[in-house]
Amino acid sequence: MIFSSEQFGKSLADLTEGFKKHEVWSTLAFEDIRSRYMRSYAGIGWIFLSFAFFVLVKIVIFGPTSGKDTSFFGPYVVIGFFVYMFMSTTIQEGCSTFISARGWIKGAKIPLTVFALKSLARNCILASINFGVVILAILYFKPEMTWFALWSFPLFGLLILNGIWVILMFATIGARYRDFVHAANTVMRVMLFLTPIFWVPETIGPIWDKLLKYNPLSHYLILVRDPVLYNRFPMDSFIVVMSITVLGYIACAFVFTYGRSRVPFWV
Amino acid sequence: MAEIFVKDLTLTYPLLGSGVRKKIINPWASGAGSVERGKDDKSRGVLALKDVSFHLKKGDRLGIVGPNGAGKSTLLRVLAGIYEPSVGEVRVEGEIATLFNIGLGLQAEATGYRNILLSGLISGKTRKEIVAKLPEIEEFSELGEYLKLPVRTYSNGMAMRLKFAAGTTFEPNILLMDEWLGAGDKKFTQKARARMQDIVSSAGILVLASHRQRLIQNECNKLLWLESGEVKAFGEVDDILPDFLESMEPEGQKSTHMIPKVRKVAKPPKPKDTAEAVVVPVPVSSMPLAVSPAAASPEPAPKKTAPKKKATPKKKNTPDKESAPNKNSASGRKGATQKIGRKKKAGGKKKTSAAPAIGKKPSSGGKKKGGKAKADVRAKSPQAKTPGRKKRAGGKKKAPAAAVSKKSAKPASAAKPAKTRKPRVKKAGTRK
Repeated sequence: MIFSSEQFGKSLADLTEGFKKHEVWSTLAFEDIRSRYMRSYAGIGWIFLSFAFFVLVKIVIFGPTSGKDTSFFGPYVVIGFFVYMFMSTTIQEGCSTFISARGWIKGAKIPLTVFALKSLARNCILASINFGVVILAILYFKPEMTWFALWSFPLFGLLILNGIWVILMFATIGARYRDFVHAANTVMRVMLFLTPIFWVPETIGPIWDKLLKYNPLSHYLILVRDPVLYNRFPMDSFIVVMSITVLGYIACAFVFTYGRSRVPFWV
Repeated sequence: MAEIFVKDLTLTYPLLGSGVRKKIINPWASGAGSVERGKDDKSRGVLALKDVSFHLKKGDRLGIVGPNGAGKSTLLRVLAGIYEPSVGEVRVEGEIATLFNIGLGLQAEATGYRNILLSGLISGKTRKEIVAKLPEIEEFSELGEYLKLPVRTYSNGMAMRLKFAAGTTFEPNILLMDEWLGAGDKKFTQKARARMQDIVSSAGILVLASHRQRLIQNECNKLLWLESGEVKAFGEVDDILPDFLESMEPEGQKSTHMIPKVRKVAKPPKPKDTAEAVVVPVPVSSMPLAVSPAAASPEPAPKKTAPKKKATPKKKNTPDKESAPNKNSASGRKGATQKIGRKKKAGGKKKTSAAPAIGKKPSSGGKKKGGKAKADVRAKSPQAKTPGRKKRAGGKKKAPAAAVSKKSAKPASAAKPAKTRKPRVKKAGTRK
């Protein structure tokens, strides 16, 4: 009964309606950022500044131990952290997306997808600001790049595509089990060091092959970074990511179909 | 065009969190308002609505009444499509506008204009449509330059104006309101009512949950009386409202702060009231929404007050005054202090105001104002045995302090009511 085709149909309708309301979620996304930085002098500049500052310190600290040239390690850290930031905010804020949209959800009938897309759009806006730092880093460090690097853009699109199921699913679970939000925060904090951002897989030794390469986030990251810095298409990572994407959407379909009508009670 | 059709609507409000699951108020009650226990998620929760059926056509203005926790807001949310019913059929045709909590959905940091835009977008309008309606919203809300300020700076009434204007300007067919217009001034309320009538007269439907009798009488033609999730009555306002008001009387009187009424009512029908109370409002008090046990059980209170009065004279008078109506708490205290100062006279007078109702039953005789109560007291209360009038004066003085000590010291009847009541009074006082 819970997973009846009727319920699934309603979930799909929620999704399509949510996409149609692009004016709503894009406006809400901007409003979100706007209200967060409204009364500060630097405003949105803080997004840029905090990212740049963090990355700079990491390059200085970890650069000497990386065993790589700074012209490589600089952009390596910047791109890596850029992608990681996108993933972690998507996951972490995804968990509390419905919870923080409580006021809207309880006030009127709105497709829940709207809030998921709002969250994703907001993250994309933040990422586009951070992208400025990536550009600066590439201009400054001048790594060896070819036109092959342009592959990164469609592959980053794949990350955004994953963002939809991640947020929809995690937001539903997060509304039901509040522990999930905290668990996600905890995990993501650790993942920062288990993902090849501040270290390079080929210099870290066997631990990469034995353990760390099973971290799915690594493959999302490699997918975007390798075309830029290694001039290669990471086929293995691509396969991993594509499988996760498909499985993720299937899992999301179940979770969201189950939770959609309950979320208004849960939040 | 607008139509609302509800048939056998049942809705279980899921209870989540281990705390809620373990501590359930009145788990033995069955029926609506009771807690259902089941292993699967679906059947565990509060039965918020049970077998609700009604039908509204264009032009209908439905008032939903019922005690707190009866399911009014839940029903509105079901009509709005926010909650999906567990069982039953709900069909709502027409464009819905919802006016629930004033704060819900307002972005505190955004300006009034931004909020108009956002709420318009949320309710499915395009940016163009919203911009086109902007002048009308500006005019209706009368907020003027304030619309350029963040909503966080607004007063409650201003926020309400903004929300009402933004919510109703797009000519919805169905307007769902939950306890609204409370914060508005007279002029705006008038305006808002005119608009509500506009909506209804253009083939719309108004559904209004409210505790305000006059609003219901003025605005509604139909009435749905909910009690612990079930429909107690549905029909024309004139047919149902009297019965409903009667059922709410003890509470209603208290809330209106009319001391004499409370006592009159409390005295004679003690047994009846209590019996009714046990039957009817208990499930209500079992709803999680009830603030405190004291607040939830109105009937027991009068009961207890009456015995108090009999048993302990002066001392009890002061607590009674405090406890009966909220606002009286202040006056009651004043009375106590005055008594202390004026001694006999003041005390006697006050007694007359407070005690007559109580005293009527037991003591039909002596019309001496102070005399009755005192006499009664002496006879019935062991502690008050101290006879001489001089001592009475002393007793009066002690009154406030004594009341406190008695709570802890006294055993049976008097102590309990005092305990339950006093906290209530204090709460009310602190709130205000």
